[in-house]
Amino acid sequence: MADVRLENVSKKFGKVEAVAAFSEIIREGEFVSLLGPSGCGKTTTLRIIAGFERATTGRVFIGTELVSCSETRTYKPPEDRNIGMVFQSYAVWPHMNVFANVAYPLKVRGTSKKTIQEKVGHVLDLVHLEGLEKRLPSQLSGGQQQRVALARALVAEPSLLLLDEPLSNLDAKLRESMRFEIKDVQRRLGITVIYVTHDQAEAMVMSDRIIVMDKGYVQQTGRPKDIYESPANRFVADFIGLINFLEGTLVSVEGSEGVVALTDVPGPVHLKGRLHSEMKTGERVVLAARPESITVLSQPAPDAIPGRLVRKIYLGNEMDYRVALGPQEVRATGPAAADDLADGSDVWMVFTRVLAMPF
Amino acid sequence: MGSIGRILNARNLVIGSALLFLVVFVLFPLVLLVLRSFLGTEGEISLQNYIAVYGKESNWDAVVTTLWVCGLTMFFSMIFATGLAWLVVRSNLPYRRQFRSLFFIPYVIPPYVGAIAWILLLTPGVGYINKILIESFGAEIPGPFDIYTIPGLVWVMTLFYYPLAFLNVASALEQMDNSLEEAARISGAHPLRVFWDITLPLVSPSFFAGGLLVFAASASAFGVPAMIGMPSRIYVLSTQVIQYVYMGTTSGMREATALSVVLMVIAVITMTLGNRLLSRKRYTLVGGKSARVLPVSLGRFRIAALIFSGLLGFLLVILPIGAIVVTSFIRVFGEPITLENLSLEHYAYILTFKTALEAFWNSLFLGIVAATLALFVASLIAYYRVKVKSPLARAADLIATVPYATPGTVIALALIIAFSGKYGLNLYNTFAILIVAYIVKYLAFSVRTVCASLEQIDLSLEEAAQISGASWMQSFRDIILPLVRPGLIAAWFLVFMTTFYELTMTILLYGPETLNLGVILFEMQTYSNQQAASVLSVLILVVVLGGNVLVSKITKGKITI
Repeated sequence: MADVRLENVSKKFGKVEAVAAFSEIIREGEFVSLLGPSGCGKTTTLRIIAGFERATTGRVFIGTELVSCSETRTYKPPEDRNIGMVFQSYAVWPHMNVFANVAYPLKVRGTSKKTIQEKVGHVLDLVHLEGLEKRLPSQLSGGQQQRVALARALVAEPSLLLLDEPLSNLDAKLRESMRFEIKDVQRRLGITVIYVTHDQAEAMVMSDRIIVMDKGYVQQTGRPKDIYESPANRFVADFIGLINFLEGTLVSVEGSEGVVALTDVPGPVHLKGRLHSEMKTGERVVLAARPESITVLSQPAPDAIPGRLVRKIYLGNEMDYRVALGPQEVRATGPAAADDLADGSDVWMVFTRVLAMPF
Repeated sequence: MGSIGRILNARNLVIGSALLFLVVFVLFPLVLLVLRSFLGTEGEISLQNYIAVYGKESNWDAVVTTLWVCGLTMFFSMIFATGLAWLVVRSNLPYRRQFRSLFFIPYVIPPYVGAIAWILLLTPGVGYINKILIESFGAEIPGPFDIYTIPGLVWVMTLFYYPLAFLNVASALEQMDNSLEEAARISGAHPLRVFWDITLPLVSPSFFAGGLLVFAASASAFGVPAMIGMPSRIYVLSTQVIQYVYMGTTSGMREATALSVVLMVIAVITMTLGNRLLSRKRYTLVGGKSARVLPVSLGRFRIAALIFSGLLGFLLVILPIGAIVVTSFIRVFGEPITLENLSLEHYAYILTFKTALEAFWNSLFLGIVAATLALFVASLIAYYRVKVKSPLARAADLIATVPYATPGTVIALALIIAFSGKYGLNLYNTFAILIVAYIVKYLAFSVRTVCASLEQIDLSLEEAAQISGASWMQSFRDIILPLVRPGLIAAWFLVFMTTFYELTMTILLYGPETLNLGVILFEMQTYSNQQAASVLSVLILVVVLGGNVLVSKITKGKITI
């Protein structure tokens, strides 16, 4: 097991900067997700750690060992880095059966037959594939192929496990259960995991820490709760979960809170919000509020902002509201049982946990 | 309408006539050929012909030589093709795209032009390479190389038939999910081990299929073994069959028939096996986006590989074409290449030689007519096959693949037997018999190309046109035709070019009025008029290479021969 340290790593493909100034330490035993939209540089970062791409600048350490150094142009080949990796397409070798696939990393290391039998048996138990040793990949379901790939990545007891969107080819139900399974295996082995995904729910469920990336740059690093509740900027707020943005001007500041006059809403409408950073009165700001922090009422209430209910949609576990606030539409959620509001009626919204961000 | 009326509707009538054409000009002659091989002198059914044929040592020799030459060609082609395919697809060889195109050029050159080139280079005593070795390196006269041998034959066949294997292995390598190899790297295997454990097993179906296709193609070849083998009495099945036909006797025809049935069986079996291997999807995989393909670093061998590839390109393409071009300008072959020995007199000779000019016009005429008719019939079959899903079209498609696998020599012989008047239709020595031969031989090829472009057109595209209010005619004109046009043009050119220089079938079917370029060239080569043969070769190369550039322009690189 080992820390992974990236120092000022960047990668250019021609003129395109895929990864820029990436510095991070991933602690031993930590589960870290690289999260971002496609083309954000997350897969390139992972492939630099694996050794499949050569960084344009910067250094990568696994444990105390320098595995990639662009100044001296020394790059340790992937096969010598002792890393386990699960690929998006699983990359289970179609011409080898389950046993041969999983045993391969041990075989190339010259492990004795007896030890191979033992270790492969053990890791197949771990991923619940016992009894399928003789099957060919074409006889396995997608989920089973996924487990073969995971077992193969773990069998040589690597110091580091890399996962490149491993669940994106599975159906929704299986994806959900595999999340917990992967997390469970990681906890039991205490292995360091770097997990690449574009699915924020996946990252939230599994990670100790999330690194949000966009256009090659790290946007925010933090625990899932921090990222969700205190997004560092508009991109992160927008990318993680659903959020409403309302534009306004800061009219007064009281400690860490401020009062904002909404811009596009008729009549002076004021809303209180936690200040994202130090801001001055008169500054233009963006208010960010999650749908679940907005309560929709049929009667006026103190501090409630009036609007008109455009449509309510029954989602089974909750009710989804779209409320017209001036020219804008605000999304809010409430309990599924609430049925006292009619489409087109006047409603009042109570905002809690509003974040005021620089414009 | 009654049930007979339904079967006889216009749609079935059109595709039915295409099917009828195939039954008359493919099934009938080939079945007749096989049947005739089992008929004795008195018209009884017997193995007499086979006993007579295989009682002769010379015929056995032809069979054994064929198997040897084709086996060796297959073997060398497979090794050669795999190495080169890996280099141009997977390694970090500089200019690998350009090398890929370069290594594929021999496929476009008519193999008999390749044979002429290597005869110019490796004839004992006077071949350019032998001459250079004698004059500059003190090699003993007549020099170390002799093209007129079995190794010479295998050499030329390998150089000109290996692209079949190269194409298969290269595209298998390209389609392979790169992460399969990366998974092995990250498992701890070094690149060479990855190649051995993962890459090679995964491309093996294409590897063997490519080999079998090379075997089938070289067994069907006539031009190369005729030009290189016959002068030193090395006979393979195709040249032996021609020998018998040229005897012009009834017994000669009977032996030719029995021999060609064996040739057909060899070619059809290997070709079918190869195609089956290719279509068998043994390894179905979960598709996933594959990361950017990271070429395998050749390390310090990169420059060595570049030099090797450069030399190979020189050997495969530049040297043979150069030999032909130079020879076409030389006054006396065998004399040193000096300014006094250069002239345009052979071009002048060809341009004023009436027979050659007639042959040129015949080739052009035959090519245009055959390509147009083949395209017409192929479009019908393909349309009914893909869009209407007519069982008649399926049958037609199936029949069309038979002549594709059958050696040209056998098809020509079957057509002679069937259409020399004995069965009500006499096409002997006419343009018609040549056109029929070309169409049946290359029909499957056109059907494939047209089918491929039709299959790209999802039904929803037509449905979208219909729902937008377009009639069937409008949707055909505005949607289908523009989308298949490049495919149709490519199919036309590919048939035109191959028939333009056709030799294998023409050599058996031509008459005094229907000589083509291939036959004239063959005769000039046989009578050792090297320069005139070179002039004609240059002419053919210009048409063929130019045509290919045109096709790949039209189809944006998607289709070359």
